[in-house]
Amino acid sequence: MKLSDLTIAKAKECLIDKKFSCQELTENVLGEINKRDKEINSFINLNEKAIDEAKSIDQKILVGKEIGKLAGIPLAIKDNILVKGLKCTAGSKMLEEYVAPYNATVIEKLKKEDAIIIGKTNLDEFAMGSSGEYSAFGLTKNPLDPERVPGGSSAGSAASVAVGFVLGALGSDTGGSIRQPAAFCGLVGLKPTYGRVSRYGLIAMASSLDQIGPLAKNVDDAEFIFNIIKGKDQSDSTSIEPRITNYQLPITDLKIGLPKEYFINQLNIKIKNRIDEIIKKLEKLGTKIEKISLPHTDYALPCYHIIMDAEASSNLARYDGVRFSKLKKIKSENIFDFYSELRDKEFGPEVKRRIMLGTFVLSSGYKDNYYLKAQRVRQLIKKDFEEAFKKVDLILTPTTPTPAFKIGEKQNPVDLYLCDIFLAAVNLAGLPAVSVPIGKIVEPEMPVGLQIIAPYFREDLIFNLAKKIEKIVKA
Amino acid sequence: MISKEQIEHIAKLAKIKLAPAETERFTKEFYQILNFVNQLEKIDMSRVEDFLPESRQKSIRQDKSQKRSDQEIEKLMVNVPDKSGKLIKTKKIR
Repeated sequence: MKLSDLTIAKAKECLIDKKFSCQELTENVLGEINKRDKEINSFINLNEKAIDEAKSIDQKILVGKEIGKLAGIPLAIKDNILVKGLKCTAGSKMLEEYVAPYNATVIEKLKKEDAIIIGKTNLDEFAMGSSGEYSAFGLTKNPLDPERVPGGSSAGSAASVAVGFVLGALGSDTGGSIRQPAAFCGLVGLKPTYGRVSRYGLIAMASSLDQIGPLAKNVDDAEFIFNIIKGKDQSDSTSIEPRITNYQLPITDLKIGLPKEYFINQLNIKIKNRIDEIIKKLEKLGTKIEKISLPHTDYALPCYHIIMDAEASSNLARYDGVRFSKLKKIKSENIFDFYSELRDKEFGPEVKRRIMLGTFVLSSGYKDNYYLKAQRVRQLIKKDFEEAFKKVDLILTPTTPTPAFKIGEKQNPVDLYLCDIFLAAVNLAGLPAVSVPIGKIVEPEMPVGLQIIAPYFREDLIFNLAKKIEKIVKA
Repeated sequence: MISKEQIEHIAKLAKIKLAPAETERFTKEFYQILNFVNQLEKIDMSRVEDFLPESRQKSIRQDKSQKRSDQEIEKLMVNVPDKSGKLIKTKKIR
């Protein structure tokens, strides 16, 4: 069987039936990466111990020891999530030499289930970007068309799964960074409810928005990884266990809302037509569709940028060159000159832009008009969703207004920000959402995605509908 | 909307030393980006109650320092570029 045809479920079967060993699978994966990743640039660093880890799982199987649910499954991890003993660069020169001293909680959970961490994937510096073009370690290409971007910021995570190197990956999503690359690469990408997955060991960007989630080839695999990484964690005070655990699934009579503010002129007509086809087929299957309104949608992106920049500027204040980096030779009179020189040299343009804007919106004389105002608008956006979920069970929207664009096509920062126009509101509200692939459009022949948004903690409903859509697309 | 002097002031607060060309560029970009975020001006805020951060009081722990073993400290110090024993070396403050 070809590596690129494998899913997590299929690979597990093959490993149990001894069609191949964990070692063979891991060697195959690393071989493919060595052969083909020069072009795509999805990995920043590889796990040199991966083969040894695979051997020890084969040994476990041989002696009949119990194995984990992800035994031998090759996964990739976005390089802003700490894996003990491996470098964690966050795609920045600032952390070029930083070696993670401990495992993120999500990594502990994956390792407990015997997953094989293949390596750390490329990303827009500090997860700031929507194209995968802004890493200090070079841009990542879309494996489906190397002239196009894979989306971002979880660019390498998406590309490494889409090309077939690994069977799944973890990304992080602050304003669309899992869902947008998933859509551009034809994958399933889930942003869980805020607090559902521990962020201990995730390099923070905007703490009230960041969430870790899986990218996978199909809904089952994404669900499988999600169920392993979720859960409350003592080390992350924002993580929570949902109050209700035994949901009654209204599988047969789901009511779905289509917000009129998401089907706008900026939406590529081919994507719109593709979504219309899917919706018609869902209706035939008995799903009720209702037009709804989320009146503050237009304000989500500006609101998001104020809050995200503010939080990022605070979080990135810790990079002072004194604690987390190699020794930098900088001529400076005092510590403040040292900080300023170093931060100018080691941060890339988008990171500096966001730190500057964040500092501005929090500064004396401006914070009322920007930061505090944005926090109020955030409440309005949240209320929009709360009202909508009184009428419908789930909300469907496009994931992106366009398919993957060409590398270098978007030079203006605001143009790039607009890529997340359908995504950022979900982070502001803290809701769970998935991007599920709905096939390719023509000219360009690229995949596009459909976003499913659910009420808090209803990832189960998301998976339910996503599987239905997956079936429709495959039929 | 934002002057070059203001950009220089923000850069000082953000501890980022900007080259003159960068200051120019940021002045232009700030204009674009602030135009974009200023869309919020259009919202009638008179009926929105003050923002209150959600209470997650239960997750607050006691402010007690936790003892860490020498090995743990050593592990955390691995990434410190310039150190002396358990202490981090820095440039002088002034």
